[in-house]
This record gives sequence, structure tokens and C-alpha cells, in this order.
Amino acid sequence: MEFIKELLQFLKARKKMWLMPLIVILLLLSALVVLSSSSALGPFIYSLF
Amino acid sequence: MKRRLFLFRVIAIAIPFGILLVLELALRLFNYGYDYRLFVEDKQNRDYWVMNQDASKKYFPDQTIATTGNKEPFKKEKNPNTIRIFVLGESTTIGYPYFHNGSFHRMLFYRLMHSMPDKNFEIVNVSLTAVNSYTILDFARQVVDQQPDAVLIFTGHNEYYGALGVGSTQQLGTSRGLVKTILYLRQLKITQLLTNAWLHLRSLGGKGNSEKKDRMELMAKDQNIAYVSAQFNAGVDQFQKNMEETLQLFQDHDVPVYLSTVVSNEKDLTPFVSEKPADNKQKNFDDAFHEGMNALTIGDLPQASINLKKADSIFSRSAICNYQLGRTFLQLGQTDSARAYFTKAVDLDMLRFRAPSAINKTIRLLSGKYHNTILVDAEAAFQHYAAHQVIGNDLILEHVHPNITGYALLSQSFYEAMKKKGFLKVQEGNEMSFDELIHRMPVTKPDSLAGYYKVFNLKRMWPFAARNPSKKDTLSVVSQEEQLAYAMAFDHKSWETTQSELYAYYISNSDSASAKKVIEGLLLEHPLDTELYEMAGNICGQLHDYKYALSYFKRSFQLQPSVSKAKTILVLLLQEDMPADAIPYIDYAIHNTTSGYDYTSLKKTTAAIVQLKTLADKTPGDFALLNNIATQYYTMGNKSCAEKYVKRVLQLAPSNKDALLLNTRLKQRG
Repeated sequence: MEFIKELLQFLKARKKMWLMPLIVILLLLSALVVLSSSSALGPFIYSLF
Repeated sequence: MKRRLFLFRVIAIAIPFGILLVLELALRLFNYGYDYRLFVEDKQNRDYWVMNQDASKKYFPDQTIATTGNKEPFKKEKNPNTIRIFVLGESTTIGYPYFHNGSFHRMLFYRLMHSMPDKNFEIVNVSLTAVNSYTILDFARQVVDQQPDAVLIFTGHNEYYGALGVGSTQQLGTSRGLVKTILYLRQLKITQLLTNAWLHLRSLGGKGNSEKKDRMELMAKDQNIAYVSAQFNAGVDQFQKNMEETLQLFQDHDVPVYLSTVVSNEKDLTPFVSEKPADNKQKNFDDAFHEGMNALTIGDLPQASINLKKADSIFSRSAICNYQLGRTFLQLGQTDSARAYFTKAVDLDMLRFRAPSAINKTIRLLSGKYHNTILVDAEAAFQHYAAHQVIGNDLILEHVHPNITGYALLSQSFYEAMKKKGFLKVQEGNEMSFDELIHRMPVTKPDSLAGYYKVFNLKRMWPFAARNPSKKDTLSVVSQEEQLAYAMAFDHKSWETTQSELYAYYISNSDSASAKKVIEGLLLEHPLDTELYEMAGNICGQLHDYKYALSYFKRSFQLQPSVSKAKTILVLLLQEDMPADAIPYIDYAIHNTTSGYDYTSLKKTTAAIVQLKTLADKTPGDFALLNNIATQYYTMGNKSCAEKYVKRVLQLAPSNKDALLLNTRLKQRG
């Protein structure tokens, strides 16, 4: 119990240590999503007419 | 204390990964997003797999442009007598603009069904429009687990503007590793969640289709890809590496691959975008080019070739100049030179909707590299068939998609390659010739017209025409067939609906031959529907096309045996003088009949005929045997076969008494 309490205190004090990787991973994923979602040209000419 | 601190740090670093893992598992648990597996269970028949209609969404995160593939069922457990073939590729491979039975694989299926009636074929086309070698590789990894006997591949036009092609992922550079990573990450539900959030945000801007088209045009303007530029080379390199990985995979699993060269319109399509010379060369080039064009217009071919060559020497990277040189040399009758110029024009065309020649070069190279990869040279077949041996409008509808004859030719190329390799063993006498295929293939008039209408509309738009084309629709839509084609082409009616309306129309007009094509087309679309085989068999019977009637009833019996079908088949077989083949069906009728009809005497007579025929084959001059066969057939009421044997005797011995007597009795019977 004391271990968990100490761990929570540790996490509270060092938010950057675990929040930063989470944010960085999500940002990287988002960047990939945005950059790779630029449309291919092929589908337009076949599906829109 | 130090140890505990270290442990805390490890836990802190692990937490973000833990959170992501929990999120991913939660999304999976609640079935968030799409399932991207290539094959899913067929909802209509749990023993079969079909292509997952969501599989394409992995390559087109924007759902508004995601294409869908065919739904061709194949058995989870492959039957021993089944030859299973998968087809991988792009829009040409799936038969754009006709789809359904206008595609080459259906023509192949139709031909094989009739040329090798004892085999069961499963030809599963998993092609999608606008995809490229990344999708081929991705699908290949799943196809290989489905016990394929062969794989047919036709691809290469979409390496630049297809999904994740070099021209479509400029912001990411041209790294193949990065694209593969993206494809891997797209399998994660978290990525789907982020993608959907992004698309939702983007849609708040509210972009309609017309705006999208403009956007595409603008996008394409920024995406002109010059010949042998870094991007050009990246496209070829991406194709080569993806195909190498694909072919290696199939080789490792001992699956033969039939890899086709690609075809495009060289003769009758002006390059979309031609590179312009530098300012200091522009005037001289323009002068020489325009003089050349003027000479070409008035038919002064020698002068045209001189001026156009001069323009080409000033600036050798003009696609349009090379194209006009091709036209000039074609008119001069110098086909080889013309073809070389046309090919160069395609290579230099900066709007890369047609594969450059480097793609076919790569395909030929790879076919020699992998021992189980067999080259299908569709390009050579098209050139051979085309007028002046240069591929043009006689085989291609617009830039890359073949017309019906072109698709038949493509199916012929694969068929011949498989036959040559010994993969297909066609019994002599059973084979459907190419001419027969062209004549018989079940592509209805509206199917063909619908393709024409789609392409007609396509050609009115960019990049085939000016930016703001006339909206006037000049299509002539008068007859019932034209109206159905129009409705089908522009999605006012589904293909299924138009086919059933077409069938009713043909039947009401007593046009059984056309109605037969509709039913044959429907059964290719639904190869497990036994009723369609029976309908096709009945119509073929009405048209006295007994060979095909037999073939359809046999297929129906294979799928769902019944005494009534066995009875129809055995009657047809006896009518066709094939008593040995009839015996298993008589046996089936004996063991399964509920009507009380006694088939044993029929079996006895049939077995006797089989025996007599065997003896007659050994002693062809024995008229008594032939007369005996005729008598047996006469006894069972098979007049046509009785006549056949009597005629044979009378041809060899016109005064043979027994034959004459039987002949009289046959005539009396009427």
C-alpha cells in the first residue's frame, strides 16, 4: 500500500516523465495520420463521375 | 531507496504504453472502427469466405473515396477437385468501367468452366480501383494462406497517383519504409480513432464533390512528375521492391504467379502534360514544332518529320512533340519508329496516369528472377492485335482501360500462359476458342453500353478535357437497352436490377439468345446459385445448344444434387450419345428416387449400349454391332441416336437389310 502511495507521489511530482512520452506518441501518430491522409488522385477520376 | 526510485522510473516510462495498450484493447473490445482483414465469412453461406468490403478502407482513410471490391465466395475448405485462382491488381484488373462480366477474370472463368467442365474453378478477384503495389503486397500476405493454386497479377499504372503512391504522399517524402509503417499503424484502432477525429475536423470545412475535383486538379498540377526525376525513379523503385517482396512470398509458398505486363493507349491519347523547354529554347522549339504541325495537318509527312525532329533536337523532353512524331511516322508506314516515339511520349507525359515503360521493363525483369513467376505479355498481345501494331482506341477506351475486346484479349493472354505452362490441361474437343469466347461471352449490350457511357462522361472532364467542359449530355438514350445501360452507368439502378429487367424484356420479345446471355452473366456473378444454372440449362436446351445445357445442369447437380436434375442430365447425355457418362446419374436416380419409377431397365439398356460401343470401336466394320446400338437406342426412345447409327451403317452399306428396316421404322415413328 505504501509502495503505491509512494509511486503516486512520484508520478505526481514527475508528470513530465510519463505524460511527455504519451503526448509525443499521440502527436507523432496524429502527424502521420494528417500527412498520410492527403488523397490519392486515382480514386477521384474513377469514382466521382 | 535507489532501487525503489529506479523501479518508479521504469513504471513511469511504462505507463504511457500501458495507457495506449488499454485504449487499443478497449476499442477492439467495443468493435470500434473497421475490420481490415481481406477475407471475412460470407453471411449467406458460412462455409465460404468473401472479400471484406471494408478492406479497402485501410488504403483510403477518407471514406468518400474508398473503393470496394468484388464479393466472390470461395470455400473455407477447398474441395479436392477445385482449382483456386486469386487475381490481384487495380482498376483494369477488376474490369473498369464494365466491372462484373466485362472483366478479364470472368471471361477466363466462363471459358474454363466450359473448356474444363470436370474441374471446379474458384477465381477470386481481390482487385481494387486506384491501388498499387503496396496493396498488392498487403493482400498477397493474406491470399497466400488461402491455398491458392495460382495467382494472376496485373498492376503498374497507379504507382504515382494511387493510394500511397509517390505522387500522393509528397508530404511524407518517398520513403517506402515510412509508407509500410503507416500501413501497419493503420491496423491499430487508435490510428483509426485519430484518423476519424482528423477527418471530422476537416469535414467541418464542408467540401463537396465539385470542390474536391477542383482540389484534385490543383493538386495534380503540383504533382507533375518529370521523366527520370527523383520522384519518377522512386515510383519505379517502389514498384520493383513491393513486387519483389510479393513474388518472393509466393515463391516461398510454392504458388505459381502469372504476372502480366500492363497496357495503355499510346496511339490515340495526346499526352496529358508536356514539359516545356527553358526560356532560351522556347521560341526555337515552338517555331519548329508549329511548322511540323502545320506540315502534318496538310499531309506533308516528310516535312513534318523534319520539323518535328528539329524541335525534338532542340528539346528532347517534350511529350507532345514525341507523340506527334509517332503519328507522323505511323502515317509514313514506319511502325517501329512510330511505336518508339509513342512509348517515349508516354514516358515523358508528366501527369502519370499511364505507367511508364520502366514498369513493364521491371515486370519482365522480375519474371526472369523468380522461378515460379511466369510472364504474361499482354502488351505484346495487344500490340499484335492492334491496328498498325500500336495500341490505340481499337483496344483501349481512354488512357489505360481496355474495351470488351481488349479485356477478352487480356483473358486470352493469361489463358495461353497458363496452358503453355501446363497449369491448365484442356481436353481436345472441349476447348472454347478465342473467337468462340468473343462470340459467346455473357456481356450484354447494356453492360457494354454502360461502360461506354461512363467513359464518355469521364472524357468530358479533366484531365481528358478542358477545365470547364460543356455540361451538355449528347448521349443518345432511346431504346430499352440504352435506358437500362444509362441507369446502370450512373447508378440510378443496380446491376442486378437492370439484369433482371433486361431478362424480362428479352423474354417478352422472345429473344432467347439474349436472355441466355443475361442468365449466364448472372450465374457468373452468383456461381453458387443452382437455380441460375438450371435456368441457363433450360434456355440452352430451348436453343438446341445441348453441350452448354449439359454443362449447366451438371454444375447445378454438383452444387445441389436432385433426382430431377439427374434425370435431365442423363436424358441429355443419352441424347448426345454419351451412355457411359449417363450411368452415374442413373445410379443416383435409382438410389434416390421417391416416385417409384424403375430406372433399372434404363440402366440395363444403357450398360448394354456402352458395351456395344466398346466392341464397335474395336471392330468398326461390324454392321451388326452398329445396328444393335441403333436398336437399343430405338427401344429407349432415343430417336436421334438411333438415326445416327443407322445412317452410319447405310453410308457404308446402303443395302444393309437390318439398317433399312430400322430406318423405315424410325421414319414411321416420325
